[in-house]
Amino acid sequence: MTTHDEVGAPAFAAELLHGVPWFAACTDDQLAQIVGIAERLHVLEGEVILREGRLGRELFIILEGTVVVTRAGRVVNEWGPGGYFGELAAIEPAPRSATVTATSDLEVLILGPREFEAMMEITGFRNALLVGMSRRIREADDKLADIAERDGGSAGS
Amino acid sequence: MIVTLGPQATVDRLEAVDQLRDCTRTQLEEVARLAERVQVGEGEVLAREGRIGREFFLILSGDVAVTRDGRRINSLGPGNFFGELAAMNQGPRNATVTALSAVDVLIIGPREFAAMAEIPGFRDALFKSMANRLSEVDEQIAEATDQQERASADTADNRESACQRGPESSDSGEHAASHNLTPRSYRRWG
Repeated sequence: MTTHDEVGAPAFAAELLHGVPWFAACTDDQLAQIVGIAERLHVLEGEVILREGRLGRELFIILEGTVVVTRAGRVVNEWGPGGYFGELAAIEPAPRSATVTATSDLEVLILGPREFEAMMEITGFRNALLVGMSRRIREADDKLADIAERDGGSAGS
Repeated sequence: MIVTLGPQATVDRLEAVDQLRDCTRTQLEEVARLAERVQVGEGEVLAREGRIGREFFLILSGDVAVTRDGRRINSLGPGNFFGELAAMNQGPRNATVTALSAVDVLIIGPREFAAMAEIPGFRDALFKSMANRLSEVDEQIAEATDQQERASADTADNRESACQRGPESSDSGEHAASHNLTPRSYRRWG
C-alpha cells in the first residue's frame, strides 16, 4: 500500500524511462511527453498481463515491480523497473509471443495503439528511438560476445 | 548471364522484399535512388569486424555469413539487411560479413541512410527488425546468464557430491544432464 505518492510523480516516471532500452537516446522532454500520453495501471501479484497466442496490441513499461516472461511454459526472461514487454505486438499486429505474469504488485505504463502512434509523432522521437535501439543492440551483442568468450575459455581449460 | 542494373529493375527487386512490403512504389524508387547497387563475388568481405565503416547493406540476392571472432553467428539472404548499427551510431563494425555466393546488394552511405530512415515504409521495417533483434538478444542474454548460473551451481554440486562419495564416483556428466531438466527457478527476484 503506498502511503505517499512519490512513485506517482511524473518526474519519477520520466527519470525511469531513461533506463528503458528503447528510450536510451530520448531527451527529457520527449520522455515527459511519453509519460503524459501513457495510461498507468496497478497490477496485483500473480495476475497474467499477457497470454501467449492471444491478441493484444499494448506496450507495457514497468515503473515498479517484477514480471516473469514464459513461452510454452518455459521461463524466457524476467523484468523489473525499466523493463518493457508487449512491444512486438505493439509494432506489428500478431498474437502475443509470450505470457507475462506479475511476480509482485506492479505499477506499469500502458501504450495502446492510439497512444503508441501519438508517441511516434513526438518531435524527433522516431530518430531517437532508432538510435537508442541500435545502441542497445550493440551493447547486448558485446555482452553476448563476452559470455561466449568466457564459455569458450572455460571449455578449453 | 546479363544482369540488368537499371533503377527500375532494382525497384522490381525491392518490391519482392517482404520486409519492405509496406513501402509504396514511389518509396521504393526513393530507396533505389539513394542506394548504389553492387555485385560481389563469393568470398568477398562486405564488412570487417573492428573496422570503421558506416554503410548500410540490403541484400537483393545471394547469401552472406556473419561472423564474430571467427564464430559464425548468423547467415543472411535476400531481403535481409545489415550495417544499420554502424549507419546510425559511429563505431567499429561489430561483425564480419562475407559473401557465401555471388551477392547482389544495395549499399547505402550514412547520409543516404538518414534520408532513407525518413521514408515511412522503410523506417517501419527498420524499427520492426530492430525491435525483434533486441528482443532476441535479450532472451539470449537471459538464457546465457541462466546457463552460467546453472553451470556454477553444477560445479558446486559436483564438488560436494565428490566429497561425499569419494573420488571413485565419476557420474558428473549424468548429474549435470539431470540437473538441466530442473525447471528454471525465479532466482533473480526470489
